[in-house]
Amino acid sequence: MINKVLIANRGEIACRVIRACRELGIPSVAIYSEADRESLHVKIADESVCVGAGTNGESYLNLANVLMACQISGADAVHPGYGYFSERANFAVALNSLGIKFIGPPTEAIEAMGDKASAKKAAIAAGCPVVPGSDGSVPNETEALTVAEQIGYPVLLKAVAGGGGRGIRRVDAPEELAGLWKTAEAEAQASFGSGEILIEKCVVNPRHVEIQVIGDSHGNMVYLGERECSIQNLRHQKILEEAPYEKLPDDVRRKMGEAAVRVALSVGYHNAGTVEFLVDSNNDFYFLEMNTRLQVEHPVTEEITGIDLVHLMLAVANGEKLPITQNEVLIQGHSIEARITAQDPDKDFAPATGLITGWRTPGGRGVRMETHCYAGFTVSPFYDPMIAKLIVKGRTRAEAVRKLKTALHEFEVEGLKTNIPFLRRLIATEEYANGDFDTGFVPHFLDEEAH
Amino acid sequence: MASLNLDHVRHALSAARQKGFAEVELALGDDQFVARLAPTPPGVAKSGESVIADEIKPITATLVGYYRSAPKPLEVGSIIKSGDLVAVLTALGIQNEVFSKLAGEVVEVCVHEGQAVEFGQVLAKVKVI
Repeated sequence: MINKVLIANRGEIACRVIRACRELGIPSVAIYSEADRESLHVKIADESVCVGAGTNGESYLNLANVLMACQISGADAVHPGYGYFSERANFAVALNSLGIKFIGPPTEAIEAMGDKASAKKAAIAAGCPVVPGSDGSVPNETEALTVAEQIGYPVLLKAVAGGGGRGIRRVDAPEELAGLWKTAEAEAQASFGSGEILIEKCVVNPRHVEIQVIGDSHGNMVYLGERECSIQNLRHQKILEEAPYEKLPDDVRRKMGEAAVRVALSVGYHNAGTVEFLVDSNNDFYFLEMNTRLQVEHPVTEEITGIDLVHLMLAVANGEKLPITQNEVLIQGHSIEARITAQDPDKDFAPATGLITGWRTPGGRGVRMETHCYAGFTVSPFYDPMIAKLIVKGRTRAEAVRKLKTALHEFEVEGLKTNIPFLRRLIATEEYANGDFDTGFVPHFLDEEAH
Repeated sequence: MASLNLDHVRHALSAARQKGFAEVELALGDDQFVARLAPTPPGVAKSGESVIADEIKPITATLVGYYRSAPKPLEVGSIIKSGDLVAVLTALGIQNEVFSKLAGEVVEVCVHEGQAVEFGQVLAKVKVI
């Protein structure tokens, strides 16, 4: 039995989990930094423990203080939310050594999915399609030409030691390869201290589509449909997410769902997780990575399945069996989430901080708000700029888009700049209304706006 | 090989200040430059940090843990100096010593032996001398 849950997080997700605990009659403990003393999550929890000063390192990422907060509060389970310690296997291990349950997957599963190379191996072993490419680094140009020929152009030359989108060159035809190979090698050597290059198929104009899975500790697992998350900012952070991906054929949805479950089960996964895929214009899909936590955009899945994911996470962490089978998962309607951030769209999305003097949130049928903010709350410079999630649900995508437009029209924040005006303009485009976009949409939209 | 020069850094920092960015990261070739910009200019003292005689100031917990009294325990009426060991906070099996930043007379002890304390919790109040 879980008797008391500490939420090792802040912001809207802490509020989300605290509410679920209250609904289930489980006492909750909030942790907070001195800068977050007035945050809603502290006010709605049953108890709270201050774990440090302002910065993340001093507070929410201060392992000793967070663990001690768990111990002194008498919590017997911890929900990590997203970010922070949610995907740190050592946190789960430390909790277990204190006799406290980690509400999430087993540590071995977190580790197996922790780095891209081992995750890709697990996906291949589970028979899930991955982006085709060389198995490790390619020794020279000649070999590179052979590999590129096998997997088909365009291909990407990637620094083996690279990351964050750096050190990548796209090659469209064999005659370009020699020149770009030299550049990529030199750049990789200069940037990462290793000139090793691998080759991967370039998925052209991909969609980012992810499958929500949840499993229990008895070997049962279901997939709860997909989320379309192609609208991302220039730093590849999601801005708008929706479920379902309207244009995904049913048989592809089923294949992706089954592949996601296979991958997750192959590493002994249970609790909630998300398998991310790239989907190309032929609806071929490729495994990208698995996120071993609850995701920011989980509400859109809840809206179309009628399932409360946090309730289920608590239940399966408690050793209970999943109350649903795959056949009982029904997808109804269409849901969209917009991430509201304190960022100034007129200043290259610079973070905005300060006192919220006015806060008028949208409402009405099919409108859901997840936030820790209110009029009188001060947004500090220490944390992620997301101040709210606005989630809408309609019977169809068109209805959901209309609701989102109406809700964003109503949403007014005074005292600091937000991305709301930008979101209003973005969803007013014909492409967005028609669901006609891929991961290149936001850069393209910003270019158009600049002209 | 390309490398960062002072002009790059100056330009980036001034642009970042104008835009109100919190962090700057530059990389060119092997060179890297990372800076975190303070929300308020450094060197500006926070208000209320000056110490005035006879003022009552708190000694606070520097971490989350269990309060244990120091070899010389905090007691009402005792006189402490800046740098004195005033409390021990045990956390995860480690004894963390708390040293006073104040000099003065203890006028109130707010915790008892073995009590769980959160970060910033007042352990005792001191009348500054």
